[in-house]
Amino acid sequence: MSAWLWLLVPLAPLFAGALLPLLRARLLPWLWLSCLPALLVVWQPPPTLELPWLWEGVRWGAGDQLTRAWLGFTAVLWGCAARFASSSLDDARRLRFWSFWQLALAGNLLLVIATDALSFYLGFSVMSLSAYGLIVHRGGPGPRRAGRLYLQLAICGEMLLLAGLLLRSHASGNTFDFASWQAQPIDGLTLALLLLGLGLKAGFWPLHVWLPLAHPEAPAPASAVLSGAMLKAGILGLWRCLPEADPTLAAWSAPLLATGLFGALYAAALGLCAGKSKAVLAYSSVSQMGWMLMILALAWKRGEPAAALPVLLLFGVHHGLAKGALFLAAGMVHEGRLPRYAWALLWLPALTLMGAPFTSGVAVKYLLKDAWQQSAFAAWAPWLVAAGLATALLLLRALWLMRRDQRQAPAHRPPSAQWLPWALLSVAPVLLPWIWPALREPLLAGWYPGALWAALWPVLAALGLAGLALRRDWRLPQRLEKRPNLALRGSLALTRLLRHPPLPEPTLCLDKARWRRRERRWNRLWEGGTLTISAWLLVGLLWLGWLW
Amino acid sequence: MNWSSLLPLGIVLSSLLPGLVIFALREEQQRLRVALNLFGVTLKLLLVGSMLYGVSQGAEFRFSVPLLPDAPLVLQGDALSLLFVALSSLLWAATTVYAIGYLEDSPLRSRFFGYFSLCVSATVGLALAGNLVSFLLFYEMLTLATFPLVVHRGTPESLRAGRVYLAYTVGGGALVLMGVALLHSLAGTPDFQAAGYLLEQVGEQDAALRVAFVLLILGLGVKAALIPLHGWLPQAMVAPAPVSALLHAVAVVKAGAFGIVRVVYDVFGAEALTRLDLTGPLLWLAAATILYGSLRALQQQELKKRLAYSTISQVSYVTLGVALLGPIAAVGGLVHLVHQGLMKVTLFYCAGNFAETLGIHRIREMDGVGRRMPWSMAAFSVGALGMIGIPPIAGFISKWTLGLGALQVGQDWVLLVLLGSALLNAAYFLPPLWRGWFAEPAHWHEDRWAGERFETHWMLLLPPLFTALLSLLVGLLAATALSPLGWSQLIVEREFAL
Repeated sequence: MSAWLWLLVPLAPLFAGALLPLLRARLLPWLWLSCLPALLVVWQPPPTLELPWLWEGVRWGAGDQLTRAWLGFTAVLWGCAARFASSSLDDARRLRFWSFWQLALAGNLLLVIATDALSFYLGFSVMSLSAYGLIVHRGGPGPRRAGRLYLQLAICGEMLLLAGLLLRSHASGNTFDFASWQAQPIDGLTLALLLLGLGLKAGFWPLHVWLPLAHPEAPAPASAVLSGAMLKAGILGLWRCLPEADPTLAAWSAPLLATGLFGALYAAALGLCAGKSKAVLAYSSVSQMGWMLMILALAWKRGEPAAALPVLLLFGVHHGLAKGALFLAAGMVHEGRLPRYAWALLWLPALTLMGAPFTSGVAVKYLLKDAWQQSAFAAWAPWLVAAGLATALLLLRALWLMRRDQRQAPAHRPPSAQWLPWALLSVAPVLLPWIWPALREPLLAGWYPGALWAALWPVLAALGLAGLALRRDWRLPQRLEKRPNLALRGSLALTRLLRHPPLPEPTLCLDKARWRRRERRWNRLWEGGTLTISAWLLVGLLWLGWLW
Repeated sequence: MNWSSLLPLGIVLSSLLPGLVIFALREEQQRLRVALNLFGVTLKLLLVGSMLYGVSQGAEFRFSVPLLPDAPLVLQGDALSLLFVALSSLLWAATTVYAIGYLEDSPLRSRFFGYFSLCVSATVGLALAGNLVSFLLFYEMLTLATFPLVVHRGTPESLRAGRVYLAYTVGGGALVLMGVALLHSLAGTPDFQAAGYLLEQVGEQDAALRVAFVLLILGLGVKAALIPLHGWLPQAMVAPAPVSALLHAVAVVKAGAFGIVRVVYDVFGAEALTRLDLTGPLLWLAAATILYGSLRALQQQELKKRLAYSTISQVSYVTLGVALLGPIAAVGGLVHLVHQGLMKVTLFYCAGNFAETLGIHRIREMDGVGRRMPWSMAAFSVGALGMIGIPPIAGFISKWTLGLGALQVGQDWVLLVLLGSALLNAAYFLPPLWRGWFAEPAHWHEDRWAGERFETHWMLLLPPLFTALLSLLVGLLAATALSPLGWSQLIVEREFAL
């Protein structure tokens, strides 16, 4: 297959977007097709495409496992969400929504297939900025607030990332392909900049503040891609920009691991206090991003990233698909009554994320535990169990809230255009291990009673706890439900400050009369003996000239 | 006299002669005037194209006539001058089309287009000038030719702006004159040359050289709008939109920045400046201007005024790149000369479109303009995002190159300036974008061309779309040889001796 197919991956969404003003609503049911080229290259990767006229050294596409798997789940998720959105959104502003959607999709696909920093940054910023249009789609004060915070942080993140990329590029002799960056040691400043810049997108604690606000405000399919695909871009970026083994990274790994762990637990605690299903799911994403940060830290500590790559990859794929399905479901419960078997289907992705047996979740968990035990952090393993338990509780809370939302839904069934893509995403975590050997092997490796029990008991414990809470009718204290949101306040204060910056307004003074006054005053000084003084001055000058 | 010596002269005359003829036309000879304008534009583009080809093949173009003792009038086409010539001829072409549409029914068009052509001739002459004296000649001519354009509307406000403009630029011109005279007395006036011609005097005439440099930079800094010499630029925004485009992107501000490039690299040279310790202050001045301009832009509620302060900030990127004295930074500065021109001209065209079509002058009035004028708003967005430095628009390439250049010469703090400026740019460009695309449409007082096929007059719509597309393309195809980036690399390799 021709290498030019790689070009089509980001361009197909753009072309489809360009057709939007012409075909308008007729095109919408077919927009999901713009993910097809991406799926095609996942299936049969063509040779890498070189685009020397674009920027120096730009290359798109690679046939390695990371690119293929990442591109695959991204494309599937976007495709399903697009199909879902084409029937769930039908207001006057939808063409604007879809323009931003296609742009964000193009950016997301480009950053996955990029093998150099410039293309990555291009995709990353296109995606980040376009996502604003998805978040504020509904209009009104809530989305506007959430969007504002998102945009402020996204722009800051972009700039930090740009600084990091510039430093990294300079350090490796002005090259910007990831392959040469891999061999280049990193310094603390660059690492901090990259972590902050990409972390603001990835949304792990404490850089998550925009996430729980943006998700409940965005339409369900937008939340699905935001949480399932776009957050992962930050993690992918970290993986690509940082070297494989490096003493600085190893030194930073312990604090990062602690951050990830704390984030996983703290976000779960916050999520349990949230009152909307999508906010709970958003906190669950923050918590899961903490897990991904832990995986990165493990990889850096061990110094052989090849061993940790499968864990990261599988975690990304599995979380992306399952979280996407959950967000779609959270939107769908508002659209209509779900039949009983649909609820069974709804449980699947939740169980997957909890790591229940026979799902992709347990495979990922198995690999993660394995990597953890072999690392220097083996002693921290009990915390891992606690984090797993917290995840399970959080998801149960989300399911319970969805159940509650369902009561206000209209009596009819949701349309099949929403139904089908959601069902596909929901069964994917269960089916995926059987299609994909990388996931099948760990799943089968944990196929003995001890391991099954190890996977099952946190789920059962969480179920028990949740049951107890329901039985006893535990309520959240009012104070926890209405916490002040510092990030939102800060964002508002910043907006006010920028709107009316407290700078003095200098005025240009062109007062001719004032100059005239000064001139008169100056002349008056000389009134007495102008002639004499002038004569003396002349003599003095002549004398000086003669001397010289 | 052969082709290679006549070509530089031809490029200057191709707008000068039509301009002079236009002065003589009566007001109602609309067709003839348009035809003359377009003839001049086409001819100039053709000539510039052939010269571009020639220079890229290594040919030399030089025209010389005696002017003053030891200081002939020299026009020569080297890679650096062509960068500016190509930019200003291309944007002149677009602006001419825009101005024809903009001034369709207004009075005094012959006067306007006459001075307009004179202004561009002066700019092109200044770009092609082969020594300091010729440069000074065209520099002064530019000052005088622009004044009637600034006061074109004849309102008290524009007359006041014109007075301020003259006070600043004539003063600046006087400083440049003193600097040129001082240098002439020290070392004569040879042609511009790579690495400068003053290295021999360093060590003997340090004080005089320093004074000359300060005089030249202050004089040029008036047009390049370095603080504290920037006051005229925001005032001059009362001029009609095509004139603003001319001031901010095509001619005047650029002439100052271009002059600084010439003085730093082709008169003094990097080595002489390093030995004289002169680039440090220039660097700080440029950095301060970048941040100050952005901060002031944030304060403005009028669209054109905000754009004007943004120019002050963005043009100093050129000075910054030049003052860093490194090869990559120099490329970044030069490439921004073109990139800023393309993006800023787009923004001014669009601001003019909003004002002409819907009567929008303040940012507050831009609510929902994206629904009424989607194409203009799209072009505006490209320009604004490019100014912030979002890839793949041209501004990103400048920022990336400047950043790498600053790191290369070890001035890491410049990154902070660049990123701070980008953040401030986002702070003052994103609100108009938000209003345009996301706010509910406002009620506009006037609505011209509402029932037409396009959202506004087609001659007003075409130029911004063209320049917006161009700013996207030069960012996307930055690695091709004829892109501004490729050409700037050629200049630095061939002529700067860094």
